[in-house]
Amino acid sequence: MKLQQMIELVQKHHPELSENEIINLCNQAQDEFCARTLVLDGATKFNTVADQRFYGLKDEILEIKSVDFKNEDGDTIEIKRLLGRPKYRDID
Amino acid sequence: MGTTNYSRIYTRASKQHVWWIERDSIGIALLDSLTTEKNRFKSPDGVYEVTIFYYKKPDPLKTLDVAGADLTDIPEIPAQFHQYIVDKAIQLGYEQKAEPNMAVYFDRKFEKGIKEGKTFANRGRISGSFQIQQNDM
Repeated sequence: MKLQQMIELVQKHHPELSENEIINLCNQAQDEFCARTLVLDGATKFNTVADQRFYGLKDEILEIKSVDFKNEDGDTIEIKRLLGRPKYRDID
Repeated sequence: MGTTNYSRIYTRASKQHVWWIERDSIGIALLDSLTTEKNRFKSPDGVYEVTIFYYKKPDPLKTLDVAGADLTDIPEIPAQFHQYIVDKAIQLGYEQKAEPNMAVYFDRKFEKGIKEGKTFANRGRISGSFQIQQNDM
């Protein structure tokens, strides 16, 4: 369904709302839908840096499913998630 | 007769890379479960390619005051759920006008969509990632 059609359907109930107000409501609706259903997925790649432990995450990420790591042998393997975090910190 | 590379066996048996989430970042380290707690985690020692697979938020629909806005845009979520997005927008509109009965009616429709969306999302998916618990030596 195109955005124009969505706006027209909402305007049947709320003719007083502007197109931008309706688009904002649709964004709110689809954000909630995706957060609760996890219906959309994606993937992203980056390279580690020597002695750097933390890497920022994209804003669009709701939840990480899995992480692959290409090791020194050139093999890409799924690495495990640690429950909690290391006791001794390396804030880099 | 070949010699045994005990160092490699030790590495394979006790060391593995792990990840975790902390302060809106992903932490990656080499876990050596046979060493002291203080030295158990080491940051990556070089350049390695990491791929993150994740559940994502939808790309926002552009309001008409934003460059590139287009009324022919189609939401990123699968088409069978578009009507539920409309239902939720209608519900939110009725909440703004303080018409709770209509809001409840459209909320029910949206909740039906949530249920269908969860079923859709779980269909044909592989199981989630493993988790490992830290243990004191």
